[in-house]
Amino acid sequence: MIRVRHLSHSFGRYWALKNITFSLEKGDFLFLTGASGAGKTTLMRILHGSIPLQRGISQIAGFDLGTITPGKLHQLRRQVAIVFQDFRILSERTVWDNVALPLVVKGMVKTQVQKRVRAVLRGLRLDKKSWCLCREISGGEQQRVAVARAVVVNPKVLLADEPTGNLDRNLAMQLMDVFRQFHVHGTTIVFATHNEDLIKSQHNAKILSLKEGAVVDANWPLEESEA
Amino acid sequence: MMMLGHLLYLGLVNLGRNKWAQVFTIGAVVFVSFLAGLFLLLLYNINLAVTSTQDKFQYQVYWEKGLPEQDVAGQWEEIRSWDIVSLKTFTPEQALQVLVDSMAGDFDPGHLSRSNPLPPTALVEISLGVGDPDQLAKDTLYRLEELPGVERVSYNPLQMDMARTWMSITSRIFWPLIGFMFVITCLVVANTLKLNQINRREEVEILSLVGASSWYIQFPLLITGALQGLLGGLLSILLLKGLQVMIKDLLFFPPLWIRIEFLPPLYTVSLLSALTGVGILSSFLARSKD
Repeated sequence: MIRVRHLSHSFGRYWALKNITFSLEKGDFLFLTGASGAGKTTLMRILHGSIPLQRGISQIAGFDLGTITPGKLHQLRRQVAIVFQDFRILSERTVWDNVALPLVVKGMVKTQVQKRVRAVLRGLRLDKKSWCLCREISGGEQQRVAVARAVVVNPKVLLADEPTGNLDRNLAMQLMDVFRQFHVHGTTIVFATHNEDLIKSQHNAKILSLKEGAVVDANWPLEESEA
Repeated sequence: MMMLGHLLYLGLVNLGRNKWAQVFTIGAVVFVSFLAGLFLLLLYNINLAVTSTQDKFQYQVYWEKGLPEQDVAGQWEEIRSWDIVSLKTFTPEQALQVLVDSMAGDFDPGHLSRSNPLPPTALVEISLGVGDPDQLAKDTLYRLEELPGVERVSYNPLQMDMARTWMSITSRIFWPLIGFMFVITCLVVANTLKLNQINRREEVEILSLVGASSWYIQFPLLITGALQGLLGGLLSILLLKGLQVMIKDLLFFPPLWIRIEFLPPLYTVSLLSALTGVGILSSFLARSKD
């Protein structure tokens, strides 16, 4: 599902990522760990097509990030969803509008959109807030809206860049449960965090630790998966 | 087709978002285009006043004496059908009367009226405002001289020089000033609309994140930009019309007798088209900076 080979990326003279190599299969759950500045966000953004690939090979959900054109990026993003620490939702729109957005931009018919959005909002216990403006709901709810928006399209890969960074421990654990639900349905998840509790709470997860842009530890044999 | 309709609808809906920002943006567009329109109105009326008096050229046409009146009258009718500004005709009797009127009160035309020496004449006035003035003047002279029975056509070469000079001055000042004003208006309006669109950068970014195609993001923005330009232009033209109605007779007194005219349809349509085009272009540029 994800194949990264010798990926390096620099911002000017600063190397944010150095020779990263790993692979993930369908249904894998990967924790990407490391201190701030380790390169987690850069890797996430490359995998989401927000930063062009400079060096190495990166394939995700059947898209080759080295050859993908800007005109095809939206197709990648309909398969690979992303959740950010700062939510990135439209605060002046309702919860429903935010969650429906990825389906509307795909041109899905209204009845289908309603069905899918209703199901996801119910699953994330946001159904009672459907018609609230996002600026009127709590931070935890806003983050759940961001997750709902990401999963409503049934993505093949879900990238989460420190989604619990702004939440307290309880809310973080609740959100983790949500990710677990979608993982059970076969979604490949890449979860960037340095929250040890979250990592321990998820069994059978792969863990990749970054430091200063390089892989320093992994709990599965990277070379083997490369083969 | 449904998607296109949806995108058009989004473009319209965008105008309703951030209401105050939209009001200020359209307000800015209205005032800039109003100022541009006012300038255009001023130039147009100056040009109108100048050319209506200075681009005219007159020929005095003399027919052979004794030519049947019916023949001459037929030719006058023909001249009237040409592209001329005015035609004043004088039968020998009318010419004599003009002569008598111009003399002192005790002038007796007795013997002249019995044997009138004056020929039929006409004063033909043309406008040199369209096309090549020299060629137009030559062509008209040739056509007049070719009329059967025309003995002589006279004109004042100095008048031709004056008209040519005025034409040159207006074309050298009028069009460059309009062009300059057009560029300034476009720059200010484009920048205003672009800033308004950049305010929506976050929304655009989110749309991009959730898999919206460039077309899906761009099209409503272009529609919004076009509507902002068009709406601003329409409001400014309404304001301008209101002002023109209020001041149209401001200079209508002796010796000026200038009535302030509103811009012709071509000018207003051009202004609206330019503002709409600038709206589309600035929205496109704002998006391409993302």
